[in-house]
Amino acid sequence: MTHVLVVDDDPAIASLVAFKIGRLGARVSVESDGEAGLAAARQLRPDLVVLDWMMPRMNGLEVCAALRADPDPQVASVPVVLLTAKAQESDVERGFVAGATDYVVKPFSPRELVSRVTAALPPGALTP
Amino acid sequence: MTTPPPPGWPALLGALTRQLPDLTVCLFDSGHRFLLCRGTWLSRRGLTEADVLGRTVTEVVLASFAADVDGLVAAALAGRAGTAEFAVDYAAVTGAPGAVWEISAAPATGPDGAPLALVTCRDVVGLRAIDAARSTSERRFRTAFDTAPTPMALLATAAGPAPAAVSRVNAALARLVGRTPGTRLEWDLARAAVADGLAGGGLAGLVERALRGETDLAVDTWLRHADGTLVPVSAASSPPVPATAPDGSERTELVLLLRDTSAELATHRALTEALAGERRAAEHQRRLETLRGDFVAAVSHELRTPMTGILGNLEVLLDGEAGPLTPLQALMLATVERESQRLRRLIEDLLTTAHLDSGGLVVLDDADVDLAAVAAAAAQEVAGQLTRRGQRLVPDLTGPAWVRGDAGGLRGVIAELLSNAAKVSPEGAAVRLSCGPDRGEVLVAVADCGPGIPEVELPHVFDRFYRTAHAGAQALPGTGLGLSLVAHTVAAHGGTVSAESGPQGAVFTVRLPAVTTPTHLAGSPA
Repeated sequence: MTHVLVVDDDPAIASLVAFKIGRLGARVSVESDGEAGLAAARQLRPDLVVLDWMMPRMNGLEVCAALRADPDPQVASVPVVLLTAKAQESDVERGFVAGATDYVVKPFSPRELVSRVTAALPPGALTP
Repeated sequence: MTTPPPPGWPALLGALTRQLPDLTVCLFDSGHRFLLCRGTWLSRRGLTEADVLGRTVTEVVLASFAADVDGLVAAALAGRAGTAEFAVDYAAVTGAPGAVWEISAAPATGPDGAPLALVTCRDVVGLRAIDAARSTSERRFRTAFDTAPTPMALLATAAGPAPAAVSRVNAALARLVGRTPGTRLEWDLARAAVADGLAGGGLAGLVERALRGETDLAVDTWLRHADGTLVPVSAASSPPVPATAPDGSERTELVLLLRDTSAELATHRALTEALAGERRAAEHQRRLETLRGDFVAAVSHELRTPMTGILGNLEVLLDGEAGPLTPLQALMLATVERESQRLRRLIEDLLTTAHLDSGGLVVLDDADVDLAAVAAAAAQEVAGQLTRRGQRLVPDLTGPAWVRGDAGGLRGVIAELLSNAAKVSPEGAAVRLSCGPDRGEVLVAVADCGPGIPEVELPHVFDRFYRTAHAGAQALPGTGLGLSLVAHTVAAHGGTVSAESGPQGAVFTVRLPAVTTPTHLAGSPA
């Protein structure tokens, strides 16, 4: 079963994302800050991480960089979809430099997020 | 026969007349005969020394005053010195200019003890002329000095370390310090220059430095007015000039020129205060702008996250993913969704405005853009809005129309203009969109069928948060930010946007610099 980790300090967004992805038949875990998210990713080794940028205790970029530097190859290669309220081109570049697979700018449509998450996973991992 | 002159005398007289070129010296023996004669008198008479030696006074000197000169010689031979003046007109004799001879005779003694008469003779006309000229120029100087509109003081100092004293002040200076020119004032100012009792310390220093030979001197100082107040002055000094005092002694003089700087100081103070006020106001304004920018940015950021929650959950609800909706629930949620989207646009506009305020650039990309194609895409973007109001778009696009810039930003500009046109035009009306090259520029025009914009409002339609009276009265949706962002974006592309109004409605025109040969096409096969 495909396992998606959602890391966002805003419970409204975290639960919305979890609901949408859960409806596609994935198992969803939720963490509410960067440090907890990194620890969960290392322990749970999910198939994809949806990661908020602006968070207390390690922001999304730091978590992303830490994941990419992880000795566990599965953790280091996990697809990461970044959630950001920053729309500027330079900010987007920073996200990719930190190792993000894709990004969605807030306020985003849940449909769009699901499309990007589906695209970042191997074909057939989710069934929209 | 001639007696030889006493030994030593010829050399002495020669040296004397060389030292004093205007002096003529003659020596007579007891027979009133010339023993020696050197000097200019001879040439004035057209004679040489050889012509006169051995001859008597009466034989040589002009008859009109020969007896008088002879009398002077006789007196000297008798032991009495004397002086007399004689005016002579040489015109008739030698053609030389006339002279006034001052002739002095003094007793002398020859080596053999015989009495001799030493006569000196000089033309005092030239000396008198110099004296007269000096006194005339002195009078002229005094008159100019006394009546000059510039306050001035004449300072004099005797040789040595004595301090300079004011010897004369003019009427303008007396007026400046509320006094009448006179001895008392001159004494006062003299003391002032020394002891600073009546004038600022700079004045004494200025005079000292001028006397030391320093040039281009000026100081800002003050004088004490008779009423006790201080008069600010700028003082400058002339170079020191050697002069002769009325008693004949040598002294150094200089002129102090003073300028009343009260008005200048008052103006300067007022200007300084005004400038400081201006700076304070500008600084305050800048702080307010920064605060506002920070506030808007923070608020907008914080608003984006809840908007995600609101719009995302609405989408899930409207998609029926959380269970079926009744038609009324669907209708109400659609209203919530529409209003939330409006709120989202407002937040986006605020965030963009704050970004621009903090010096951010609106041009994200710098590429060759076919504005005609961009206009078509913008028309597509607002097609839904036009359709809902039964309106139709009348496009007149001539492409390609190349410009440099950011396609997304430019599409937003045209979409904003089209959306505004749709809002102000009545239902079923036509909105016209034209785009094409125009004399080195690319021109985009959007014309609506609305009520037009009153002339007084035209200069403000691109102001931030400005809404026309019509938009307010009709409660048309909008934030007053759209057109200001249009203006920002167009300006960032080096273009201009303008609004005109006529009876058929308003026309918004965007002009951008045209690119003749787009980079990506340059060098490609024709």
